[in-house]
Amino acid sequence: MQTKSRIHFSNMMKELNEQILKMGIYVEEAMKKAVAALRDQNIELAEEVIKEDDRINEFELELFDKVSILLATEQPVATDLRHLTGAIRIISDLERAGDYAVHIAKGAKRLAGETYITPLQQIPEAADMARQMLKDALTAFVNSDEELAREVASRDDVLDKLHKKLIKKMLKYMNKDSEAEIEQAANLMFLARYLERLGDHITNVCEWVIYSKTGKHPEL
Amino acid sequence: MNNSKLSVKDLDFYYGDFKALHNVSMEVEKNKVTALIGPSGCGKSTFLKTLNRMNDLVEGSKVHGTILYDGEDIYGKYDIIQLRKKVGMVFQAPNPFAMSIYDNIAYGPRIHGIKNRKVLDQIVEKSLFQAAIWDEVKDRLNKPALGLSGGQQQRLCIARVLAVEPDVILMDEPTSALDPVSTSRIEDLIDELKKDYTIIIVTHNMQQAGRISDSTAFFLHGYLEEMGQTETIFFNPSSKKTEDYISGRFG
Amino acid sequence: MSILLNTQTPVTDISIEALVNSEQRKADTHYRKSKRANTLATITLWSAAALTLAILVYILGFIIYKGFRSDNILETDYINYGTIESPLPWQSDDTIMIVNSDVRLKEINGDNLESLLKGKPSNWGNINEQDLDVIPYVLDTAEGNFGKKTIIKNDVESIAAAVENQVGAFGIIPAADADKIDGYKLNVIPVWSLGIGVSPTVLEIKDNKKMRFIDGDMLKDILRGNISNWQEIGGIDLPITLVIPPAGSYEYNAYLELAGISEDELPDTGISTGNPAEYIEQINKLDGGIGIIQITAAEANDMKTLKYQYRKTGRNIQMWFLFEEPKRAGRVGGVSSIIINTIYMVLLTVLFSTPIGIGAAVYLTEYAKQGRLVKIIRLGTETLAGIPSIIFGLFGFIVFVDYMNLGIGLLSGTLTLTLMILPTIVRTSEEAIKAVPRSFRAGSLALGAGKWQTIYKVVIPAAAPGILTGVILAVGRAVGETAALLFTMGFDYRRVENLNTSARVLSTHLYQLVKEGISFDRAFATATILIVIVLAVNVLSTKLVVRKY
Repeated sequence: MQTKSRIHFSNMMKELNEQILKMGIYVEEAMKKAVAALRDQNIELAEEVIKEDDRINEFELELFDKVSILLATEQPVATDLRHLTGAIRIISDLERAGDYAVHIAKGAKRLAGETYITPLQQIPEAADMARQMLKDALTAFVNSDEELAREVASRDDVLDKLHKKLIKKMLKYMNKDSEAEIEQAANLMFLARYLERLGDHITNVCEWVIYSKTGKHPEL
Repeated sequence: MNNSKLSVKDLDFYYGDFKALHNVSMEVEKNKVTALIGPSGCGKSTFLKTLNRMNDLVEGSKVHGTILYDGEDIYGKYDIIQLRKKVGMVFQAPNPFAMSIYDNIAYGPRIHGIKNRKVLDQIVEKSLFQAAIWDEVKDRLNKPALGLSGGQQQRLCIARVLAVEPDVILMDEPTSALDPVSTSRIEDLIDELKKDYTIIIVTHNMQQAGRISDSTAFFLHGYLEEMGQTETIFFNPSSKKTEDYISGRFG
Repeated sequence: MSILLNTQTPVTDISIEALVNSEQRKADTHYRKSKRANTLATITLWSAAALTLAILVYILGFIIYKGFRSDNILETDYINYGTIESPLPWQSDDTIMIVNSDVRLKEINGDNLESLLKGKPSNWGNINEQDLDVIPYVLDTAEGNFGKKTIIKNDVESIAAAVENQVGAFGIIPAADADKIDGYKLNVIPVWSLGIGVSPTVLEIKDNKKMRFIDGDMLKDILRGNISNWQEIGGIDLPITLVIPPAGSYEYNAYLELAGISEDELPDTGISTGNPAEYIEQINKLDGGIGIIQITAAEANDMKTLKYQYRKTGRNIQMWFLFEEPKRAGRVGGVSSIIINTIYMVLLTVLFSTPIGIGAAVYLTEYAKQGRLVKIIRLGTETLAGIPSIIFGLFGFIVFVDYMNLGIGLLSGTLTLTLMILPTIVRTSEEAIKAVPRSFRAGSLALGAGKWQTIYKVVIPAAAPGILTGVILAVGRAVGETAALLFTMGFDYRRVENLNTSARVLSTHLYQLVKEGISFDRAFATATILIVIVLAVNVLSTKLVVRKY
């Protein structure tokens, strides 16, 4: 039944998907750089992330317009419609994800001059995981892959556990008297918290993928 | 079920040897707008015409199955004139008769035996008012109806149907020949009319079906492929064929 | 290899370029050709349309022009010169002719005046195509032979009073009493009395040549002495000898006026005469002699005369032609009863043919199963439409006149016409009914109307303009039909009394006028009325149709 009609619309949808993927790659790149800056205490890299966030923000607005125009001119229904309304939410989630990368980069800048109280372990691990989730969530979106989306969403639990583990670890430092140590521990807790929130946004992306596929709002 | 105005069961329809409708069953709810959609030749217009037996005019047409109107089988003993009075029809192209506006509206009541001028005056005013065209034509009731614009003509035709006090109004692509402004006026009118009438409308315009109907039936190759609440059909249809059709992927 | 490549590549490029160029040229040529063909077609089609229009305008214009304007070359014994006070041979003094103002008379010649006074004819018809009794009045002192009906009065005033009041009356009074008729409403008519007297030698035949007539220009040239030989105006080789009337006589004054000269300018070649007797003698005696002379005098003296040829123009059809009854096979009077007969005929034909025609058309389009029978009926009607009308006439004569014993008359004629135009009405009505959109019928049926209600109230009114067009076409045919009426309707030009009365209509009247050689002027006048009636019916019906829808 899938004949060659609405070629223009199909092409536009394809282009939109590609651009969302591209936006995802920017976000992923930002996360990667932000965490690297944190790990290596590299201020320049952190600055780069902060600067490049503008690009992500602009991208969000651009894609928002694009979706609006498609809604106006092509008047999609059913799956197409849900895909587009989902896309609006997804790009906004991606933008938020980008913001968290910026927060992490800012934290990295703050902590650049300090000696870490403990080797960073959970944060890079969580960041890698979050990046992988983001990649997979976007793949699920582009392919309307409900299974993958659910699987990605389930990984959020692991991320949450990592977060909790880190909190516990940091709380130990909070009990110490060294003000510097307490402050660093608090900072690191915040950074972990950002990663956790990032994971939530990726879960949101997964929810929209499932919604656009099924028309139902899943509880993930 | 009590709300059902028309109840179609296992309807088969033949043009000679060609089977145009296969085993169609449908409940049409009272005071609701039901949209019939589907690609050309899918049988939706044929189905519409079986509801007031306009298909009887086609030579060699045959009907199997039952259509109950308020519980009575219209292909049974039901008087065909009474049926067409109760189940009115508006056509694709506006078809006012070559008469004055007044005579067009009074035509139906006259053939049903109303001769009193005062009564006719009342019916004409009421019908034109209901069809939201009274203000535009009240000063020229004796002018030829064919001098009106296309959109006005179509509303006049709706008024003409209303004049015989029907119960159900069938509309066969009533806006396909009209410009967008006239179209939206007719759509507003349909929305208004569903308070008092049950409306079944065939349309090729998906957006229109989405806008004005309460339930939508999708016909394909003579079969009723899917029927349901319009929101469901347009947001999350269960049939892949329906989805492909409404999103313009075929047809 | 490399050399080959090097040389080959540019060659290919050039040939591609050449190919493109030649394709471009071909396309240009094609474009020019198609443009030329277009222009040619436009010009050709325009010419065809213009030619058609020109022919149409020419035919209609010619007939209507002839209908409104008569233009004839006439030859009479009399020169078209007359004065109000004119000498008549049976009167010793000059006289004046007075005529009742209802009599359409502009001038009269001596012969006609004499016969009117003798009471033959007793009707003005012969003189001016007017159906009126002639009532002549003369004074008791008048000389001459008068008919029995001539009324003799003893004073001018009573003649004038009688002529004023009695339709068809005229009188002769002495010119001396001209002042006595002042104040009476009557017309004074100039009388033509002069002719062209010639010597017998002029009329001799030589070399197949013979002098037959003289027209106004020739006469003027002769009277002025500008022409010296009869040869110059179509006669034999003979010198012209102009004889000048005795000075002071009626002829002398007329001579000066006709020649357009004064007394001092008399031509040198002219031979003057002293008295009427000498004048007549000179004309007769001299070789090639010519002189203007009163016709009665010429007759009395056995003088030869030449015919005078002149062109008579004037209005042809006038109001009286529409409102007067025809008399004497249409020679006299108008065509009023014939117009009325025509209207009766058209009304009856429409009355008979329209219901049958529309009924048949409705049946064929709406009721009949579109099978072989309908095809045969259609073929039949189309064939009937193509049959020459004279055959309908023959059929009508055999069936209606003879077999059904209706006699030659209005009924037989209209029934024949009905048969003749029925196919046209059926065909056009069928087309008109078919052209009513299916959606009209559907709309009506969907409102619960029955089939007949739908046809009667929706389809036929919507088809009415088309049907009316067909009926008008048919009426046009019926109004102009002659052949079908020859054997069936008769030629009685009186107004029809009942359905069996023989009746003449405009077309058959026209036919008779030409066939009997009665008058082309009248034929064209009748044709104009026919055309105007057809046009009027057309315009009127279009107006009717437009007003209703």
